[in-house]
Amino acid sequence: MTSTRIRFAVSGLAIIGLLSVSRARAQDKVAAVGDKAPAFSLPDHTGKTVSLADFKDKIVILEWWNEGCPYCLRHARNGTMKAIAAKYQPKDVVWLAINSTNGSSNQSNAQCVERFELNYPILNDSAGSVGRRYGAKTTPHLFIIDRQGVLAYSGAIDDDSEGRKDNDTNYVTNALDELLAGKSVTVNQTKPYGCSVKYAR
Amino acid sequence: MTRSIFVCGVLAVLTSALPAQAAEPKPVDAQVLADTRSIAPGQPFTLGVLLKIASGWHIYWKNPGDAGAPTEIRLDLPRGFVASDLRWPVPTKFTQPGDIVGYGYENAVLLTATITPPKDLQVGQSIDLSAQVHWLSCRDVCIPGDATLRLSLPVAGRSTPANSDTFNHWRSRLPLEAASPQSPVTASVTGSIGSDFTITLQSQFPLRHLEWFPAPEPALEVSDTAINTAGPQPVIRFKARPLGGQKLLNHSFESVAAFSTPSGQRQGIRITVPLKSAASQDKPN
Repeated sequence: MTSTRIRFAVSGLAIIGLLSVSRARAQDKVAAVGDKAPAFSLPDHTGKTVSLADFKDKIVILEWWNEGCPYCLRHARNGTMKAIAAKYQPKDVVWLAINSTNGSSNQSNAQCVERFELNYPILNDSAGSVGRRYGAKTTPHLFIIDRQGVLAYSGAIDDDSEGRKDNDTNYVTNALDELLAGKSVTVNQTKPYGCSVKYAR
Repeated sequence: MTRSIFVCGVLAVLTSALPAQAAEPKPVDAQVLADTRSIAPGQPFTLGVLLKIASGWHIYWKNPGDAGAPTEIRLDLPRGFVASDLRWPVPTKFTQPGDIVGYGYENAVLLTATITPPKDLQVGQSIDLSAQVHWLSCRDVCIPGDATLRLSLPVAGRSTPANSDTFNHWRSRLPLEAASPQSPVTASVTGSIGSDFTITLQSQFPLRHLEWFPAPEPALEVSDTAINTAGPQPVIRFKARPLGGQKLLNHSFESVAAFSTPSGQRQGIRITVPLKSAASQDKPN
């Protein structure tokens, strides 16, 4: 019957439509070094909305953070990230920590900012969508976005995962120095170390 | 309104202010064992570190995967004693949300090394051996752990077996070298940096639940792994490239292919992947 055929045709189109949408979502590929850095808008630990677009024409550093991870705690106690953030802030470099831990909150992030006297905000990505877009694997996983909004570095903060070296190589400060000198980043990707990001299912 | 007593993570408070024994969970117990009750001069024996892991927690293989940290053992041996490389039983793969892949162990693992005493060792004395062990145990949080384990063994005319059940159990879980005559599975590897690699397995029996565990150096990224068991021979495909701007130190990397035999036993074979670039056939870069 004509009406049944039309109904099946419409259902078929609807199913194809759904498949196309789900395929498109699966193809929201993880940003790679050299790609435009994915846009985001997340609340910081005070509840204020912070967007990547707020920092157009600045160099932005994203640090994936989780207070349940000993690697983050060691750097927080040593003030590693704070020192870099403070040193480069006068050169228009913005440091943002992002917490993609399932169950984290603005309140728990605020407690960490206070406890470690951080000079940068912690953004709440407890749903994990920004972390997944960036392909954040560990805490800490560092990303650097250059002034053109392109992902210029992805990887570890340094080559000293266990904190044993007297003289470690800091990949982030090396990359920043190159970008600030108008050069491209030589070592633009390293294997990040730390605990796995504890994403929601 | 509930007043929160959660001060930036319980661990942050415990690890900085209080002694290690206070309240922090200890998911891993470590002990050192030898497969002999006595050492004979010049006669190799096996030393093992047995790590027992609480339910729900895991520790990591020599390549931890996307995150985590490898379990480390540093042996302190008297002068003249030589230790082999550490031997790792076939690991388990766990995938966490966010496509984060980890390689490691749950429940328990025995990591072993062969110790060869010097030939001129005096019988009648006692030998002290120690192992410094470091691990990262994870569940929903991660807790690092350390242990210094000591063992004293007398030097006698001959060795006498000890802990045989434990050592036999874990020896059967060590991967065999793919090229060795005892291996029931052999592998041929093709490919180069910048193009696809393939490992083709030849086996006398169907390989169930085939998994592949690469252990590349940190500067080499292994990606796009695909395992195809539909054809007559299982094929593992992957890409490998140096991470941006980094130089490779090695001309090959090790990997383990793990599978279940028809009787349901988990086994593994070690496969070496030679690294050549598409441009140059004999150097990695």
